[in-house]
Amino acid sequence: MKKDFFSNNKILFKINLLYLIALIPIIIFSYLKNGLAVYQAHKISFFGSLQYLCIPILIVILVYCLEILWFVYIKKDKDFDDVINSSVPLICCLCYLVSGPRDSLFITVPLIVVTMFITKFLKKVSINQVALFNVVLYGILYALGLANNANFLEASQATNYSLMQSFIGYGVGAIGVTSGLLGIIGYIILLFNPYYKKSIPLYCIIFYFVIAGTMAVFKADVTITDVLVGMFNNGIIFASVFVAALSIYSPMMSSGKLAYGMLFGLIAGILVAIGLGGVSPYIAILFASIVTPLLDRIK
Amino acid sequence: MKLTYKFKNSEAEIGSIDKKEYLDPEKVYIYLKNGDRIKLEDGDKVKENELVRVSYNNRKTYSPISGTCHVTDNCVEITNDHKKNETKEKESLKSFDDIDRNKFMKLLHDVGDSVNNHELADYFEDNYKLILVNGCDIEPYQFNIRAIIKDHAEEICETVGLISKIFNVDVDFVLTSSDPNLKKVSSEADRYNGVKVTSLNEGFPYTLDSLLKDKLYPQYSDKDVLILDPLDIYKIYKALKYQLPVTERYVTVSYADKDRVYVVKTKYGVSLKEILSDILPDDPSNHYIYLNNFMRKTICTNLDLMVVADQVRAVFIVDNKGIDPIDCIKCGKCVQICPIDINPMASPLSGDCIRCGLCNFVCPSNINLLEENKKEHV
Repeated sequence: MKKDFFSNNKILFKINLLYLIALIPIIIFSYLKNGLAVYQAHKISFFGSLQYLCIPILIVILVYCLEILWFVYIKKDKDFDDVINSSVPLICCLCYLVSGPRDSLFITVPLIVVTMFITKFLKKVSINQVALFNVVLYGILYALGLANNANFLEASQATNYSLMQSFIGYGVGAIGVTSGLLGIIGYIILLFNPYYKKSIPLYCIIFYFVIAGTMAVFKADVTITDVLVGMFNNGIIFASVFVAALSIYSPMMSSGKLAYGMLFGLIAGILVAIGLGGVSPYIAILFASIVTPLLDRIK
Repeated sequence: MKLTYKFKNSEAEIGSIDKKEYLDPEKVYIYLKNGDRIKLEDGDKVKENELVRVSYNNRKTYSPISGTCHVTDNCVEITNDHKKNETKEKESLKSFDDIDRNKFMKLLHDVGDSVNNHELADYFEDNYKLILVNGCDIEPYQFNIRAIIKDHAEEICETVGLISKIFNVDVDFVLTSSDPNLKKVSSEADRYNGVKVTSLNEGFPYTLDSLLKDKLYPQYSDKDVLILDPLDIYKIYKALKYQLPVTERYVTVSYADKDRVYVVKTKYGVSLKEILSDILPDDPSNHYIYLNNFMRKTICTNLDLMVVADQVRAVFIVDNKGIDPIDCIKCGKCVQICPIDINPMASPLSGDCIRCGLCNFVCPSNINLLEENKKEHV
């Protein structure tokens, strides 16, 4: 017998916690790739290298504090349930991980706080806030001429990596998003969340690959291997697993999920082909999330 | 793949179920409706099984206890005098062998016991292709039907055998596969022609009458099948054999906790508050009280007015802390689990909804999707 006949409000906290657990391998990887490796190359101090490990944790703590301020002191909630259940710390952590070019924290961190307050006002609107954050951030960085996604190793060595190396995580891309392997590990962890929309990442990745592969057929200098390497470096897997499947901004109905995956694949495939790179999946997710209410009506 | 949640309703899953008897209550209440004729006056003494009320459609209600009547405009309140031997005696029939259709109908009419606000005899006026005895505990974590079967398996099987014989109709006695009475009922039913026992592997919501019929006998229309439950059959038995009503009822009382599940054998018309205050140590006011299907979240707001009746199968006492609704996370589980493929988040809800409450059960946000005010969370 189910001990509690109804879900108690801690279920949402557990869902958020599982997301964070799924992100831990990526946080560690981002530290190894962007912090430790750079420290070993004597380009930054040891303490400087720790920022990639500490900042995601500090952001989560900071935003939880802001949530307490919001709910307990501004909204005068009697208990901490809303704080505990809030997905904002998780979203902010994601925002940092998916976007965080290493030299632009002065933009990223304030934008995270702004995102948190946008969350309060966009509650009923189906706009994927993580995708919105990324599109805005990339826009600001491009406008300021600061767009530099290259991590230290890739930027300094400029090596062409094999398919397997790309899959593991070597490659040019924002912090933590370049590893297909860790994306898949995260997906497996998220399968333990019974409320995770597990079909959405699969549809997104499959349709992206179909679209990008079809385009590759018409380009003489692009092979299927290049398409796969591009998929790992553009954060398609990360975005599909962690961002596209955020339940509140994606369809509930089976046919809607399929249509969402197709739309994502189509838009992301085209944007990558025209050279938009790492921001492509977020533009695709942003657009697909806006039309999610329509997708849910597909029979 | 369709998401299903299998409620086995198995006692093994629960651990132990305490059986309690509450057959000597302080008071019973018989509510009155327009057109009811009362056979007693204020201050009258009444014996157990003595006629109290006859409704406009000839349903008869008998006193479940002996005591003193207090008659008001909308209720007959009987205060128990605790005299066990004050019982209206009737002659008992030695066997069912000489009962034919006419005698069957006459005896049922005379007693006038009822099902769903209709006289029991009315159900046998029409011809049916099948009589389905739904011996499953209809909703999750209810154990009262199996308690009735456990106490009266022989009588129930004998009665369905008689019904099958005199109405020349097949009877299917359906029990869930986890029901410990299955073996006993099967061996009893084997003695009667035309009676078969079906073991149902599926749990709720296929235990609901309409879905059960559609699942087992999709070839028959609704009017071809009469669906009764074991209590109805036992009422027939008692009417035929003793010309008496069944005044006992079984109610599952659960504290939403596997360590505290009770099946209470009590009397018709007993206040739920009296039963709960007797068997539960905690103050019920600190909890939500849900009636029957806890997933439907029908909160019983005024326990003082609630009495044991045919429609009261179970009472679930749920701690009211930490189950407040929060905003929908659009996980879609409610859509996945809906047995009739509607969208429970739609407002207003589709008219096809069977109100099984499974959507409420899987909702991580604790939204009552069967209610109109869900809009503020969805």
